[in-house]
Amino acid sequence: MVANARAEIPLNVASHRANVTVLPRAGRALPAGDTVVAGPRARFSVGVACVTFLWIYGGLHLAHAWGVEPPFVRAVAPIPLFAIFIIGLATSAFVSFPVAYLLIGKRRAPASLSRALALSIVAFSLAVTWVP
Amino acid sequence: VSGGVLRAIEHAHGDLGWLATLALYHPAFLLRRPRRRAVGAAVAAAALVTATGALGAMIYPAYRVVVKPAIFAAAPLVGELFERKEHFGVAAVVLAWTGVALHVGARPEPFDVRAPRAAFVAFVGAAVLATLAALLGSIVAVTQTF
Repeated sequence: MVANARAEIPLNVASHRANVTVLPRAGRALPAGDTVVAGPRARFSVGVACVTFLWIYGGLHLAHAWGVEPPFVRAVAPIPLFAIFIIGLATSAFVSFPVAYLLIGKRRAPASLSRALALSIVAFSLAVTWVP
Repeated sequence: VSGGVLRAIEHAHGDLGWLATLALYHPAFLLRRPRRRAVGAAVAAAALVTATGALGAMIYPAYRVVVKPAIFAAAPLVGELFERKEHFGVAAVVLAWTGVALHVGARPEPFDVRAPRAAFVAFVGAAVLATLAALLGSIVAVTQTF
């Protein structure tokens, strides 16, 4: 019966093939005119934001420990931990979306996110371990 | 805020911290395979570590005034450990939510295929840093509390 049903339904292979969307391979540049849906771009932005946060936080932490922190850090919050956290979040939010918008069409940007994240975690850990 | 309330929050912060640390290893383990879905585990672990961080932030101003000077007077090395612990905790919270954002909704499509790998890296980093924070926090709590 299954065989009969299959035999009775006309199958237009050419029309099925026409419905398949060809997407660019990961890590390859997008062809001109192609669009990327919002989901992957937003996720990539979050990854860039996290990398930015870790570097900003680590940098401000080192600046605070060495006594060369910018004056605006104290203006944000009286407790340095909170001030650095807020500045790190705000900076990463502002920086991540333009950076992600510029990078997402580049050849190796998506593939580099994992490595950049891992490198940032290690650098952050070394910075706060070395200088408390 | 009375000392009793601060002590209660401190104990809840410590217990919840270890629970959140263990919870973070769950998505870190599951997401080693990029096609695996673990949204519930990821969100729950991130929520737990955020609640832990929120409790820590609540008692941190009082800690700086009451406990920190006593720790540095009694055992400066332990005080230095705590100064590191708080930074590890902050990074664990941020990495956990980054892992959630990278994991939720990621599809095995060509352009999106790297997001699950980055989510795995974020959760492994969050779990390791949360472990360090919990260990250092326990050492500090043995030395001095509210």
